[in-house]
Amino acid sequence: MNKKTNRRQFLGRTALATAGLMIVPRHVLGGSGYAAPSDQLTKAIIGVGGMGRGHFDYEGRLLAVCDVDRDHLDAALAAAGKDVKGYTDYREVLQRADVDVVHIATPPHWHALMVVEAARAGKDIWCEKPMTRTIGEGIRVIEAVNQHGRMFRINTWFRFKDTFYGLGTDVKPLKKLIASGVLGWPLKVTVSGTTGYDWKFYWSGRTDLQPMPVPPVLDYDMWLGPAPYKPYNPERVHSKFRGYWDYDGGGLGDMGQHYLDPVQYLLGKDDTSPVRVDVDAPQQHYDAAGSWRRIEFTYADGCRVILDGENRDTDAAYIEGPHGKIYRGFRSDVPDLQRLLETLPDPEPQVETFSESVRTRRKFALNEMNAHRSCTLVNLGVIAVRLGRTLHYDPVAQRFHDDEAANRLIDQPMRAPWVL
Amino acid sequence: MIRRTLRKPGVRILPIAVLISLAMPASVSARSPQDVRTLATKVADILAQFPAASSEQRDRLAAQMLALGDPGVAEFVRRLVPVGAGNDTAVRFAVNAMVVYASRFGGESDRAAAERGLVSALGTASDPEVRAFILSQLRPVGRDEAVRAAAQLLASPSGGTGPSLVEPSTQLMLAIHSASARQALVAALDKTAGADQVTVVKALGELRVDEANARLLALASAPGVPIRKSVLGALARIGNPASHRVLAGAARAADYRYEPTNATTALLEYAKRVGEKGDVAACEKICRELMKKCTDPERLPTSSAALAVLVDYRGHDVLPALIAAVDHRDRDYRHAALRLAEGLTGVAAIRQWSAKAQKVDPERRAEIIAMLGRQGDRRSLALIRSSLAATDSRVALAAAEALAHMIGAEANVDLLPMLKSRPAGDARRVADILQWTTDERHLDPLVATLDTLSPEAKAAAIGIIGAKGGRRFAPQVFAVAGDTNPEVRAAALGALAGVAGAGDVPQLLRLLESASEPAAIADVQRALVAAAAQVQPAQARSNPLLEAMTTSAHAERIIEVLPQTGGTGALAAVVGQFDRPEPAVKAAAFKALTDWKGIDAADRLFAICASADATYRGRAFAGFVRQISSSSLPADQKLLQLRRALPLASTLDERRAIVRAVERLKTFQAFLVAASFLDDAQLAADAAGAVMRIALPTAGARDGLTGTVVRSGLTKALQALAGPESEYDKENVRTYLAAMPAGEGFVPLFNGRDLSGWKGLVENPIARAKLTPEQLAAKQAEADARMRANWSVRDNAIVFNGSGDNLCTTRDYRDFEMIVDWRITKGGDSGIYLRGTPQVQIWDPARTDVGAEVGSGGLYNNQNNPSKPLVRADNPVGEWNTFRITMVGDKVTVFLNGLKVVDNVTLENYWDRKQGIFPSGAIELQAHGTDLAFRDIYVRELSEAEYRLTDEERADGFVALFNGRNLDGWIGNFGGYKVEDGAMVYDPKAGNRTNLYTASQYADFQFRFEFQLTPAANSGVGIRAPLEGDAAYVAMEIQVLDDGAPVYAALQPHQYHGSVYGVIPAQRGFLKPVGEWNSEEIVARGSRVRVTLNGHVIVDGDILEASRNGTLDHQQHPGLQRMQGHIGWLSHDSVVKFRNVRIKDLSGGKTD
Repeated sequence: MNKKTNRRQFLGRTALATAGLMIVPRHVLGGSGYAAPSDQLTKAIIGVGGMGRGHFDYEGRLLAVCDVDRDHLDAALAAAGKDVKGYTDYREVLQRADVDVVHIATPPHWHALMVVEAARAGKDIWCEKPMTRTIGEGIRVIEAVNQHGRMFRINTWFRFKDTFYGLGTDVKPLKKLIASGVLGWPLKVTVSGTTGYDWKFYWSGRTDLQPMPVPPVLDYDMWLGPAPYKPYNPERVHSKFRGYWDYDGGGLGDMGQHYLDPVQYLLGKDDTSPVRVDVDAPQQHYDAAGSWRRIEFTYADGCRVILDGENRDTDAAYIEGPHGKIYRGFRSDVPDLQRLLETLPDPEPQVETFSESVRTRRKFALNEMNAHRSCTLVNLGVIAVRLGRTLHYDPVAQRFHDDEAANRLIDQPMRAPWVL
Repeated sequence: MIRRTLRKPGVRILPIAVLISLAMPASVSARSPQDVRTLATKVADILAQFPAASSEQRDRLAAQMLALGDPGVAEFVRRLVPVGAGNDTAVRFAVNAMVVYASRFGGESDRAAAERGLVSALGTASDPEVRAFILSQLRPVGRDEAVRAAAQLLASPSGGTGPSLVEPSTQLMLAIHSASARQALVAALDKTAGADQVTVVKALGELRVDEANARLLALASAPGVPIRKSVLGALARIGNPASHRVLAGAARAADYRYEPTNATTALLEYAKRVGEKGDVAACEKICRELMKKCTDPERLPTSSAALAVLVDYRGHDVLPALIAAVDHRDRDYRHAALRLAEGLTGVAAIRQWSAKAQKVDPERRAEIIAMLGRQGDRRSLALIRSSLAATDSRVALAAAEALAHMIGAEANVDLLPMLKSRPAGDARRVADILQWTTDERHLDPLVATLDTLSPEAKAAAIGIIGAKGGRRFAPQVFAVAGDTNPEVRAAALGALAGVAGAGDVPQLLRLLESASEPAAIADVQRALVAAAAQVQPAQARSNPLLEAMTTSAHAERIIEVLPQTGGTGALAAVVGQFDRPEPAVKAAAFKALTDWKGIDAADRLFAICASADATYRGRAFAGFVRQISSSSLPADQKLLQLRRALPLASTLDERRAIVRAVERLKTFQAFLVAASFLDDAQLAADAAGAVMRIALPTAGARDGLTGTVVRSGLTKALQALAGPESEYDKENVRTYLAAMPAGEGFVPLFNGRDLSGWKGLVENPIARAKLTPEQLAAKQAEADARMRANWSVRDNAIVFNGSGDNLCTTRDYRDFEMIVDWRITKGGDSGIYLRGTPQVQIWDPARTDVGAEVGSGGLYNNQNNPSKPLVRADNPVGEWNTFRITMVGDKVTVFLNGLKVVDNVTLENYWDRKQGIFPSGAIELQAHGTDLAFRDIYVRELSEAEYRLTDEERADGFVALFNGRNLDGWIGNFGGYKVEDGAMVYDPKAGNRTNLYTASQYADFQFRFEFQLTPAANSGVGIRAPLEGDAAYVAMEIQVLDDGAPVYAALQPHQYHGSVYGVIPAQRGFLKPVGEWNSEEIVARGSRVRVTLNGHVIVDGDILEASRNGTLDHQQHPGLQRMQGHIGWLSHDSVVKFRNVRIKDLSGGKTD
């Protein structure tokens, strides 16, 4: 048995006797002078620019960092300490047998490729949001992760912890309330400034970008990877890439999965998607993402999710049902809400730390399956905004009805040699 | 407008000449038969309208483009220029609009036209970037014609200079994925080399082009990783049996590992493909081979994948392999196999898993049960239920969880007995599961079992009753609150808070008195709070507690609850108890003070903190900060209180607490305080976070801070931001800085060190104006000398020692907003002179002999306008106060400590009451007797462009169109409009009746104004108007009308106030009575128009939709097609006033 086997087995043994059965808070496993198993997991981070540096602080012992910008890599290595090795090609990182978890914090146009490759290399995966840049890539991610028996998480968390934006509470009491049926059905969810969210339209791209020389520290061809070739301009890369369809989806790409994943969870839509998307937006540029006024998703059962980019609905509730509403700040017209909450069953527990998921092989709360569906909302929105028309979607076949142009955006070809 | 002719009901007379001129609009649509423009002009006219503001407009424009026919489309595409050679942004928007529009369902002829146009352009364009753009735009609409054109590019990949077009051509083929696309790629294989060939190979694989297989096989031994990887991948996807040997060999050569050519993946992919094609035996052979080879941990994921492929094509036949996998020593592999098993349902499968579960060790049995639980087939319930009784905890608990997952509350019937039958540890876990299957209504069976349970299980069950708010079972819980078993007792006490009601208060007070353990006391206290909260009326909640306190031997236990139950009597009782000698009582009273809700106890805490009482100092400090911070005090007052506490902060944590509290105040001064900590190495990161959160807008609001001071503070904070989300934060800060509008914002009038920027006072402004420059210079020198004697700087504040003259800014100010903190001593008296004129009053409210009891902030010298403050908002003498003073025109608004004390009041000219206030002048700090101090003096000059804009509007990008003084920025009828009292007044008698328009033109905008009508007044707002013609038709008119006047009794809805005249009717009934000011907003965005009157949306429609089948007034409205123009007041024959006119240009946000 090689070194890896030993560590993995150690991890298995240190889990409680009931590993795989109950959700155990990490502190239970700890104790004085005891290294919690999560600290024994090893990780590598691919992409150490804006988002990637945040992954230093997540669980796991860092072994490797990777970036196509020499400056990013040097800065990361300087911050990381002496045992951490730097790479410029992520495939070399994936070949390291001693890495348990691969963190992917590149721009989204790389996510699917890296996830699929990491799964083939036998890694568990911690991926930045939005999960994938197209719906088709999401389907491939699910397939690869499941085939290879990997654990996967998306780096957003509001469906299981932390105060959820303007709600002033975490999602659990909302989930209890909705599951109880008190609000009635179908529900309408409004995500806007009024309900406590901020659509960051400053992620809009610029048009008429002029070609500029590529800085010597950047491997631009590798930065582009599967994205179509476009002449270099600093606006495209690093902290600006979200403004361009080739790499992300503007403000929707940036915050969409953070905002919408909990909505999918609350509405119980983790295995499905809307059947219709309506959009009100100015004409979009073919390259640069812009703002939009309103995106409305409708599910087969009549539930709706409204993204109100202009706060046009000034008295919107966050969640509205036929029998009650929940407003920003967890205000409600449901009488005696707190008392009611006390009497309801709790939601079924979820695995809320990734190390536990890796250790017990229970799917993480936000895994490739439900994350694909919440990312589908983002990508449906992007396609509808780009085409500027109502779309009808088949959530089982994951194709559009009667819109070939929309279907051609479900799978967008990758630039050779990259292929999923 | 109301045409005079329409005032007579039923009569509609328009001169024939007008009708004819209206039928021949100035702006002509591209489809008009009379259109005599050249093609180039038509194209230019269409291009000028890009980018479109809406999909509707985009589609309309695209339809116009396509209507120009092939030559027209060509004319557009011809205008594309290479990147770097000019700005063709509008053309690219137009082309994209055309292809998106043409790609809609059912638009076949348009699709073909768009394809044709682009294909033809591809032939004529020479620049590779332009051609790549055209290829990308063909993606939505391309079919065989596009394939033919792209095939030519593939056939001569080296044609032309610059980057190869093989990649974009191939991508187009992939998007089209038709038979012709496949043929074209096959043909290209031999014509390409190197990277281009890799591109084609990859695409042949993705499209699974079997015809290419033989040639691909020939390439399989080509040198180089990229081509090898692509060929293997392509061969795999095509899945031709002829490739088996090569793929298997490559995977073997790679030792079935993850390596650069992905040979192992290719073999797996191939297996999948042959399975898909029906050769399941071949598929299975490969998969089984891979599973046999990949047995070490590193390669087990490949084994899993092979197993997964097998399951895909052999389905239930693989069940034995999955069942065998459960014996594997590697846990990851076992779980992967069990995940696959989830998809294989059916009674046979369940029977086999049940059998297997009997034969394996408990760990694996538990894993099988968990899988069956996830699978959720009720036919496995038998196995799961029988496992509930397993001796091994893992098995029993896995079964319990699976059951709960599958059947929810129904599982309780099985789970409840486990409380009794399982060992203590298991019973507690079962109780955890019951927490999520049980609600209040399902508590009865649980309660019924209570008496049969072991103490441990009973405790857990009682916990559930409490957690689920089982008030019905309060008697049962109280009954065991004195149980002999400590675990049961503790659980009962813990559950009391969930079950106790108002009637239980006396019983709880008795329990509280008799309790002895700290945990028990805390539990009963929690219950007491919950029970008291149900007492009505609310004011009476503390009464039984205060009563019990008089006889209690443990008064401190009750005191601790009082902050939650509250009331003035309760606070008085607590303050009294703090002075008692018993340490326990004193401690409890202190804690009650810190826990007190609201700010009633804050002053007492401050006093304790300042008293150097070592026992309580630190906690008093924390309590004070918390109470101030969570109070509903205005932000200015909160900040003053936090700054007051700052000198008492003696530890790093205490200073940090101040920073954290300041961070929640979104004011400019809070920003300054937070920024002052950026130089403190220990607090820099906290300060940076605070600076950022104060300055940046909150979600959904427009409350970001701007200006030079803010910019430099944020720039400094960028260096210090830290923590896991800091890269997000930095990016947000940088983006905000980049978007921050220009402008100085608040600038300091006092540098904290000396009196630079200030001078001595020379006479009053009128007398001073009469001096010659020489006289003034001499007197100024004397005054400056006196100033230095009397005014000085101490501890970052300007102080006055009690004799001499005012301190004056060296500069004069017109309209401004200022912030100043001031402090006086007992009997103090001072003030702030605005434009050299007294004064915003400052005095000790104790001086009732001079009427000071009204408080500070009033315009003391006013005689005709209010001189007293609206409320008394002074802080106690000796403490700091904050003024925010706004002066615009002759109007002054003052906030004192966050409360408005002067609301837009005219400041009279004290020096000469016959004239109005000076248009500009110095700001002066009044010297008046006693010790004075001023600090943090900032001023923000209000430019005319900001005239009367709110902070939100300014941040949102609004500009003022009217400066309140004259008609700068307007064109047209200067005779008929004059400015009075900050309003534009139209008087039909004063001049001609032409209109008054903005000098600038606007396309999409948000236009806000206020207006005041006279009886039966008639006016209008012309939008997107030319300067000539009747705006109601050559542009459009948003009606302004006293539509309730009797003369308008027969009005049509499309003539009501706010209507798009003649086109979209407005809702009536939201005008204020004649003579009052109304506020209105008109939003025009593309063809959508929304009118909001006094907060009510009265029009929200689409002018083109509304006029599609003719307008409501049956008139021609060619102006509806205009997309930009002037905005103006349409003059009729009534006196109307307009003011506070501002606009946000919505076109500016578009890309350029």
